[in-house]
Amino acid sequence: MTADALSSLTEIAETAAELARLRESADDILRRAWSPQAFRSLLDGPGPAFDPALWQTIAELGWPDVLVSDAGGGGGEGLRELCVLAEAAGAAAAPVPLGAAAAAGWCEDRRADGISLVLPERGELAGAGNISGVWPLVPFAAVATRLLVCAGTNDQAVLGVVDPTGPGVSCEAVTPLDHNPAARISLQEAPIDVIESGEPAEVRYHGSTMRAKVAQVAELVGIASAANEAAVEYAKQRTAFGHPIGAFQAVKHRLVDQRCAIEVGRALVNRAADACQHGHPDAAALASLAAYWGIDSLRAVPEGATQVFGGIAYTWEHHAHVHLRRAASAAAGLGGRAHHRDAVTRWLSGRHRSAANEERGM
Amino acid sequence: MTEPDYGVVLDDADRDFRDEVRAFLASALTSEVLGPGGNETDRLDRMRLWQRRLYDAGLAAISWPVQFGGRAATPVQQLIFNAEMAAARAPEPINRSAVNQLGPTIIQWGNDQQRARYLPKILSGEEVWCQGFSEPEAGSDLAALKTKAYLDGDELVITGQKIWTSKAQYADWIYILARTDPTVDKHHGISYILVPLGSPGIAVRPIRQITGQSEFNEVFFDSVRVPLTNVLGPLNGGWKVAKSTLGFERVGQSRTHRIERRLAILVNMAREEDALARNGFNDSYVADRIVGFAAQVEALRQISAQATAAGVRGVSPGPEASVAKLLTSEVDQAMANFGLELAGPAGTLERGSVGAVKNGNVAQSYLLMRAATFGAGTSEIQRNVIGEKLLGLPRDC
Repeated sequence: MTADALSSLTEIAETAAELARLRESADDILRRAWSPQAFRSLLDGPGPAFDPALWQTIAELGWPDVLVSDAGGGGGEGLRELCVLAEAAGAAAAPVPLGAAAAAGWCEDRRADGISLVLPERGELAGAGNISGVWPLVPFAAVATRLLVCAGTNDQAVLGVVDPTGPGVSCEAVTPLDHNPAARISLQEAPIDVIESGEPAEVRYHGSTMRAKVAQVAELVGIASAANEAAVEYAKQRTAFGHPIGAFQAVKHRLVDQRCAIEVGRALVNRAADACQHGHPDAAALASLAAYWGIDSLRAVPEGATQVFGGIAYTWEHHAHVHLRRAASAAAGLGGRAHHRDAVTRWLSGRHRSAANEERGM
Repeated sequence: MTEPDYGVVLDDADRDFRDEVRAFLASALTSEVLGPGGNETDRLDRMRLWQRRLYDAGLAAISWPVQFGGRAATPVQQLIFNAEMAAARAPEPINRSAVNQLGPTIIQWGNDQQRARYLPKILSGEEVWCQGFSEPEAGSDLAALKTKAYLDGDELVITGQKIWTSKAQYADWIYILARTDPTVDKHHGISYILVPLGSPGIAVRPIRQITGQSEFNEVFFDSVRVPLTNVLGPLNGGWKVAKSTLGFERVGQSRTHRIERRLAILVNMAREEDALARNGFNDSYVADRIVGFAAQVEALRQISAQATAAGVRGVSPGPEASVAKLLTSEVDQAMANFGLELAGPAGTLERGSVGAVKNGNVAQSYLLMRAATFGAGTSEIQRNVIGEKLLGLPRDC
């Protein structure tokens, strides 16, 4: 990394301490406002897993506006702060579109009423400045009040807001594994309220989706750690052959390996978040690296936790499938493994090219 | 020489220190130190010379307190020092393990006479040390050690066997653990003893490793006599002293540079082996493996910077340090394994064979890296430590 993207060790330590305090207060708020039990009752009910009162609570605290500048009415904080909040929400099984909403807020740099979401893929420019396109699975889109859409490329690119209740918009509810109020969005020459066009629109859209992805991995880190902690507690209590199962290395080492995967995930989120925040050229590759790890290793953590619980986790009553469902949905929202892998390999190839002639030993 | 990446911003004092280290490297890292090939004796001579040059420049033990010949270096300065040495491909000074582990243990547990007697010669390399902890029946379960020492007047008489002792074939001294009181439980009744390797009754036998080289030895003690003043710390209280040494071993050299370098080699091999298309890897299996390694290597950079930063504040590094140790060993070995696969059949050719990939280094690394997951603490023990200390799981049944 270049020097301007770096901090002194003292700053790193101070930032870590501040973020730890932020996490404590976020945990405290979520403990009072939410619980895995509350998530369970939504899962048991007929509707989607979304609680308007919970969203209201975190919106009043300014979480979705954390990336919006002071001038724009937001918190004026960085991506590391958003990631701390997203991880806390993940750990608390809070069904909130925090990453996508905060990325939308950053994109417009304005505090929004309701729920704004950035659509993760581009649409197509239709006639008369309208937009078309199909997004088969957009998490929380059924409760969104504003959709930020990018269409076209280069000079032709536009970035703007589409009203989900407006003309040419079809929003069809679908039920993903975590029961979030997702929707299939279909735009047919839908009118767009343009915020930005041309190259700046591309840059802003890219910055926004990258932030949403990094925050999504942070949420996945939180989900994985909740699953791991629950399995660890169970392994201390449950006995077999006269011993707690956590005293058997097969179980203990599985839980440790999961914890290591979580620590790697958190470190990758931090690196990607810092790089995005500083506009570092490695940012996109590091965001893809974090997303890759989410897909490759973090989704597997609740799967391993389920194995530690055994049969009890296969019952509807048990909480384990809450984290399993949420991790599967969160990982699916990160995009394709091959896409992120290619982004990383291009970066690695370029980075190591200069060192190629120098490396002659192994 | 490439510009090392410290991962942190330097202040003026740090930059001065970096310039001092660079100036030292420019003048001291001569061909006598770097040497071309040569035999084992030549290699040892170069390591001795390098130790001596670091000592003359006051850089032999930068993290030690000033009054014992150190520089009381900050964590950032240690980071700079390690990165500059790695970037310049400086050799290992002959007493590095003694500087990192035994020296700090003597500073912590030794009396003034012991500090004055041993520390300067550790720094200069005049006395080379090796560690005699492991035994044939005491590896992971170190406290099960059987080497005995009984008191005879003001002397200790030592009988037993040590194994996996690196450097014993050329070291002057060995620090060992021996059971001085067999009547108490296994963690008590152990003493930490400093023994001249030239003492009558000591025999050193090299162990030939799977690499064909002999870095390790067995050391046999048959009624070896040392004065009682050679006990470091309390008699029968050596287990705590040993734990200090093992603690210093863990905080010693970060291996981040090594795994970054191995990743770079894999990326370049993938390109050379045409497993790489112009715009990215065209073999998705190769790409998948390499990106998986890259994720761990990049995470470990962040984790070690975070641990170093915690050190700045005097906060204990927390779970990251033990996680880093486990992951570094595992990923290092996994990358060497994958290197053998990536290189194809010629990767298995040993040094000197026609067509050997990287002059046989791929094959050599494959063998060498077997030890990554059990040397200096097995991965199983690391997982137990993390499981019990960090996750709070019960001890093994």
